[in-house]
Amino acid sequence: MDLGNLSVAKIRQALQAGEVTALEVVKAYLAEIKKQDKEINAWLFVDEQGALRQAQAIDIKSEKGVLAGTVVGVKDNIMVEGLPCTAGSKILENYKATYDATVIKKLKDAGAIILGKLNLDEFAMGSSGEYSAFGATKNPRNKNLVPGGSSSGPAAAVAANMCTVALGSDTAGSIRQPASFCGIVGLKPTYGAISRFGLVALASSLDVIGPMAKNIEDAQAVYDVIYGHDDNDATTIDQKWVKPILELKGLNIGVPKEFFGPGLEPGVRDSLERAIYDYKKAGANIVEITLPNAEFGVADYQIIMTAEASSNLARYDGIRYGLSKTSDNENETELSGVYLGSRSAGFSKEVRRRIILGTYVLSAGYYDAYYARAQKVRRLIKNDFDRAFQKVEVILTPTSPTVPFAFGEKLTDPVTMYLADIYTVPVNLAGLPAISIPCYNAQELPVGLQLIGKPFEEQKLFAIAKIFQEQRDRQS
Amino acid sequence: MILKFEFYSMISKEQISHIAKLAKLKLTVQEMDALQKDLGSVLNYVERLKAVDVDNVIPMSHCVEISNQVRPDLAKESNKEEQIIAQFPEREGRLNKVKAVFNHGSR
Repeated sequence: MDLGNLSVAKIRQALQAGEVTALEVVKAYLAEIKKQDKEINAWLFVDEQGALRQAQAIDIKSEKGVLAGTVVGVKDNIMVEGLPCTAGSKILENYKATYDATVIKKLKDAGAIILGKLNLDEFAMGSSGEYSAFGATKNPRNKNLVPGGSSSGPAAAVAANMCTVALGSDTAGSIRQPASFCGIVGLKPTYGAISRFGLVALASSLDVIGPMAKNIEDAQAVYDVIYGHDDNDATTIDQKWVKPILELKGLNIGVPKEFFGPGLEPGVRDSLERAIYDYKKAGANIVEITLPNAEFGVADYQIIMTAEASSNLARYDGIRYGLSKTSDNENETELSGVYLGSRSAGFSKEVRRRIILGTYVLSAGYYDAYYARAQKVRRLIKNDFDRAFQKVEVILTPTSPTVPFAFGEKLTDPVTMYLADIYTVPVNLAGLPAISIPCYNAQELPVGLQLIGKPFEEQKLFAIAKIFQEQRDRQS
Repeated sequence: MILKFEFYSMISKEQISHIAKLAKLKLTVQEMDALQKDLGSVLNYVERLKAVDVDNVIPMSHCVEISNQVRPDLAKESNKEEQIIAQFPEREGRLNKVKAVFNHGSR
């Protein structure tokens, strides 16, 4: 079985035609994991028996769901009933999910097979995968380089053909940047388009779940199954159906000049300029736009995310689930000794750093200077996008300022790592949908092209992205 | 009040120690040193927000402008009790056993 050539549609067609069984598909992926994952370390848990059982159930069914036989890897901060859910942290090392996230339930109902759980930066805090408490993941395109993060495992697993598609989560770029680094497609949906019920919360006003796949069609097939209102997530809303665009003639594509400044690597710039040329040739109007406040995105995000994370992570107290340890500090009461002992042993350095900063920016005397101000800057960043979208249908930018970097390269100073999100984070702050698709390689390394759309216009993004995908595939 | 538009790129060890206590985290001396440096670096970076004119800007806490999402208040079946109980770090029968809230001395 040529796993590199499989897609959601091909698997389903082959199942319906009786050319292959779901059991054979799962076994092929399992063999690939055995062959490659010792080195790549994308998987934290492979549910071999469960996946074989799910496959057998699909093979017996005469009615094949729209995702029949699609083999899914799940970032380990999304709950799958009965499987571990570590969030990449020691504090949840022995935790087992007691229910399916809404997205998982929808995937299962559509005939998808959940193969296992994928590595990530601890609590999705990181841009390289290096902050996982269970070891870093390697980039399958070049094993000396990071796969990006925090959805490091999902991106690597899809790129290395260890599953058909994967689910990731994106708070500042955690789906798009690893997709860019591993040469795959990643969709960050509109905030409110997909239920987060069953997602381990990082920053609740920013977190979203989205698909990661080898091509746009597969990402779209997953999106079409998992979007929509969920009673269990009050931030989800039913969306209007936007008619997809089929041709580019006269369509305005915005290119923000601020995203092509001095911080952009020359190889990435060249790649993007070729893509812009392709779109122009296909009939689009390229319009220069300005997003003057986007440069404040990373700083703004640092305050908002740490504030929300420090609140969300207060739930890990060693009382109801997860790691429970008593501190040896005699000055504590027994109960608060459990809080202190569990949290100190369970959270690693980056998580503590963010909890401390978040607690600080929310504390009395500093709230107005940091948090209240950050919320106002957030409004200005969103206003910039609203203004731009009066003139253009979609915005085109690089996903990341760089190609994948080496292990350890950005670990010495936290700000260096945070700047990896510079082109993706404004999109989360504004709640918009964006897709990262493979652009032209820069010196053999993957480059991602980011298309940003208006709220709930995912279908338009898919259509516009496909036009470039066809163009690129013809040329390579 | 006086702190309203001021930023502090330096954070003292006393402050860190106080915040760590609030956040229920225990820090070693080495960690404290590293954290002071790292937080200083991040706080120094976010200083740039001071340059933004935010007068008359309404704070944005959320990207979806919806409120009062309600659903019928109906009781639903749940069969997860055993799985949830199995996660308790310490239990007595079907109860979650929790350490004493107050110091023995203060009882």
